[in-house]
Amino acid sequence: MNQSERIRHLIHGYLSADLTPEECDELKALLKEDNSHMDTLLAELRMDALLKEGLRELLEEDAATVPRTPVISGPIRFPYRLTAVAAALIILAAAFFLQQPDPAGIHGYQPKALTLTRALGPVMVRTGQGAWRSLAAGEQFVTGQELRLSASGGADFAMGEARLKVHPRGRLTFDRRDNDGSGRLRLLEGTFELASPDSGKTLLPLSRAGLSLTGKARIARQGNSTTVCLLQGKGQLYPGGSYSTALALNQPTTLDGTILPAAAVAPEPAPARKKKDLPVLGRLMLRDSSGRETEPMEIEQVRIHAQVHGPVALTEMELTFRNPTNRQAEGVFYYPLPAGASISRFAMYLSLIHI
Amino acid sequence: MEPIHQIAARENGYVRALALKLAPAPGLAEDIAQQVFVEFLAKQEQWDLTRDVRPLLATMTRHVAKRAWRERSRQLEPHMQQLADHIRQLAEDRDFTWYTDDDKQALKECLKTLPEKSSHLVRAYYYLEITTAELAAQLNMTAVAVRQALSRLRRQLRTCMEGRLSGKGSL
Repeated sequence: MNQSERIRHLIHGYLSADLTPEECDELKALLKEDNSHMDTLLAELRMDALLKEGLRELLEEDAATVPRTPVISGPIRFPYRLTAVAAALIILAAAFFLQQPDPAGIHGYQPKALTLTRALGPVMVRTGQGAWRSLAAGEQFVTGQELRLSASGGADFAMGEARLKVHPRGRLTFDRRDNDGSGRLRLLEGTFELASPDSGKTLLPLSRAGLSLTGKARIARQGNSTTVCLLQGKGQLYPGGSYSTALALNQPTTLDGTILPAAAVAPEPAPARKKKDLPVLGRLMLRDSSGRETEPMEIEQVRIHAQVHGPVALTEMELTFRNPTNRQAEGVFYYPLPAGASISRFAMYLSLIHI
Repeated sequence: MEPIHQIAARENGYVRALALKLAPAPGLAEDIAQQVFVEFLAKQEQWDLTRDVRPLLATMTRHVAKRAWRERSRQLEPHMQQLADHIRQLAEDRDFTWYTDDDKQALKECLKTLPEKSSHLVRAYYYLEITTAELAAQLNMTAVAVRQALSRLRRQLRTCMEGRLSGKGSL
């Protein structure tokens, strides 16, 4: 490594705050030795800021290709009517963040064709690296296409004799399989219902194991394991041999090549939550003249838009607050973050002025 | 008289560049500039907007940067803290400008040309703010190797940007 590369390497270490004490001394000495190194450091800091802003804009531009659907709109008084919806959305946001798409395609169904039978909101489809487009009811996918589907309001698909119901915000992919002419469906996140006239039919092969389901289940993948949680109806797991085990309601079962006993992964029963403990969407607490928080400001409109990029979901929430009084108000904005989530950007507008 | 939000937009680069010199650590300049403009807009009735606002913004930036730097320093280990203070002293005397919209556009075009693996690394580090140590664990590499890979990618991006900006001025 020559000196120019070495200085950049050390500067990068400074930017990521992971230099050793010896490297700190080395960088200090180099900066003292030559003034131009300081210009390099400042240029790197600017590059760092530029990269962050450029990447954010690129991802936002990408996300903007999906039409935005207002989830809730119209006058709503906070928090009573919103609480349940907000709780569901926040849980969903947490699920987005916790979910790891399955790069190996471990859970999949091999349909020859998939037909959209009913759309409860916009259903978007993207073929390969192409642009997102809206999908019409009755439209069918056949093999040889690599598809990414997003059903923000929920949708029903027919897969031969089976039926797949995608709940709002569900996302799935349909991978190309050239060798046998069939596609592989992968459920990335969300909640799905599978129904088949033949309840004994295996609908979702899970690696060496299989799942037969008539009802509703949540399938999640984390690390190298897949967790199946039966929410409604009946389900059987086939670990790969001839025997099977029945799924118990609301008890997640984790598959990691072999089936773990359901009891080993069953969660602690969650304590009943009081209404006031429910997570809220975000609130702007008004302050009185003494600086004491009084009441939350009325939420006029909420827009939520989520876009999945690999293992991460970029979830954008737009909250519109209205000051019903004719005087200036001051307040504090609170936003509960789900586990694993972080804020990448925050912006505030007064009327149309970005502050 | 020029509306205050237009003034804020015009002086954004000036405030950010000054903030970066006064608090030369990643991410701080943006936080400082935001705080400065929030205060600037909130107290707009107090300012004489017919005069040059730069001295006013410079004073506000110095105050906010001082606070932000103190808070950031507290989070650093002692050896990093000493280095950061040394860098801050040296940075204050340098001439420095913020990036332009052309720079940003060139970078975005260059980012689109990155191979998938490099793009993933850049996004993980700069957008998701995953540390080099965490990335190293995820990618089964050492932290030094991750840092080297990121340095290499920055160099590639800089070269690409310079190529695109030739004729327009470079970063």
